[in-house]
Amino acid sequence: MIQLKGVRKSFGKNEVLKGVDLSVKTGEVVVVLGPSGSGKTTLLRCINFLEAADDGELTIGDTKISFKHATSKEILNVRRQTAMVFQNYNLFSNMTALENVMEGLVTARNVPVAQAKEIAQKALDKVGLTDKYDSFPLQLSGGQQQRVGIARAVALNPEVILFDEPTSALDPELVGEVLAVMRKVAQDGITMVVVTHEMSFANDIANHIVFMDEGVIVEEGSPKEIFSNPKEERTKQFLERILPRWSFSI
Amino acid sequence: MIFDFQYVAASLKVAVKYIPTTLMLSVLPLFIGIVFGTWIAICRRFRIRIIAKLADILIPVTKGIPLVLHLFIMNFLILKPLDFLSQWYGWADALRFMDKTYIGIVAISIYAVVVISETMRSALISVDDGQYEAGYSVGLTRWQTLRRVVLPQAFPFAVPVLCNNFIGLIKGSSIVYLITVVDVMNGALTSAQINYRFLEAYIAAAMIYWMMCLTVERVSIILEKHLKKYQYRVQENNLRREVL
Repeated sequence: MIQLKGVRKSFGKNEVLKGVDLSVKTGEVVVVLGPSGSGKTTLLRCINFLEAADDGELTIGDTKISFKHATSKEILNVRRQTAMVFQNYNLFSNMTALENVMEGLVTARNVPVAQAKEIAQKALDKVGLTDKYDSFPLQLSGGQQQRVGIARAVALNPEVILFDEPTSALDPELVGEVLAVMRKVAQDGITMVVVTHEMSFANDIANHIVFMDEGVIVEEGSPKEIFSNPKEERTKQFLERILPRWSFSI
Repeated sequence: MIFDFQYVAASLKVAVKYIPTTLMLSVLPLFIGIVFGTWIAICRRFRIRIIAKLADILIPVTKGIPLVLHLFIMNFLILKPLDFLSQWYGWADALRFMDKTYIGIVAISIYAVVVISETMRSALISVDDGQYEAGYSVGLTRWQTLRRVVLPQAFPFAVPVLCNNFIGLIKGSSIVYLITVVDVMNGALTSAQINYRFLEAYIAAAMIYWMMCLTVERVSIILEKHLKKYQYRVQENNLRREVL
């Protein structure tokens, strides 16, 4: 259970988040949609303190943290309960795929190496990279790198995995394999918050869809509500531009 | 006076004995420079309050002063108080004739810290911000991220420049002859003081410095290859793919 309350963030004079409330139930897949510049990614990065929000409150599990007065210990604690998959993968380029997945377990969580190795191998098997344990990130294709990124997040067994436009940097041929892996992760009942532009994918896996624009949540609801019966004018506009009418699946 | 190789050889023979002094005057500052320089660079990268501010002011100032002046200033800064003290307490001679090599080491070290901190800063900047973020996102602390992710990537990048810095220190250390320390340079000149064969002595010193720098450069290339092994392999693969 993750709850955000009144999150505010500005970069200089530019106010990116204007008081956002969001709650994610355990096991739920929340997809955040919206035009670029609407603050989706910033919101996601605020959840694990990669971006320091100016104001607001975060509840994760049983702990409540105010963004303004978060101590570094609290921040570390939140980061150890969350994991993130980045747009441009951000794999540790000095480590092999296996070491990438093990790092968060061994160094951050003091899991014994042998046990961590087992967990990491399982995670990599799950994303279909059994033959790539010892490859360095630069030796992998974009899709493979992103799958390692997902394995790295899954292996940590976090409260929530944050996906920050995981397919935006991939060429179209490779998007499918990453989405397939994400679908698998969702089916395992892991809580996910996903920022994406893949509409049909969002429709498929989301339990809850949030539409953001200009730093506020304009509308939220089930995929059915949002895609086939949007209430707000802004949501209709956005969906019309992105989805041609004939691609609706009801 | 014709150029005479015999005198070169004679000078070489004397100068070779002082290679350890020159090495001490460059290796010690190198290590001190790497330790403190990296530390300063890290503090500046993370904007650690007072230290980063202080470094922002002091480093450009120190960087703008020639090594010779560092040496002279250090010489006075260290000798004057010692002179005063020794007169006061009456242990005059013991300090008056202290080994000035130490003054050289201090002066060159300060110079090395400044130069190497800039080298390390650029190496740290070369590591993408995403690497830090990825480290934080899996729950590593800032120090763990540095130790496990950033420094292992920054060091291979820094090695060629560090070797260049080292070569600069070896050559720069030759100026300690100005405060009467006997190093390779001064050693080569000792015989010239008697027979006035200065050109031969200079060439002998030049040959030794050249050999030392050549060695460092070879080691640098080997180190670089070793540290970047996997990256090289990938680059080769990519090149091959592009050609095909």
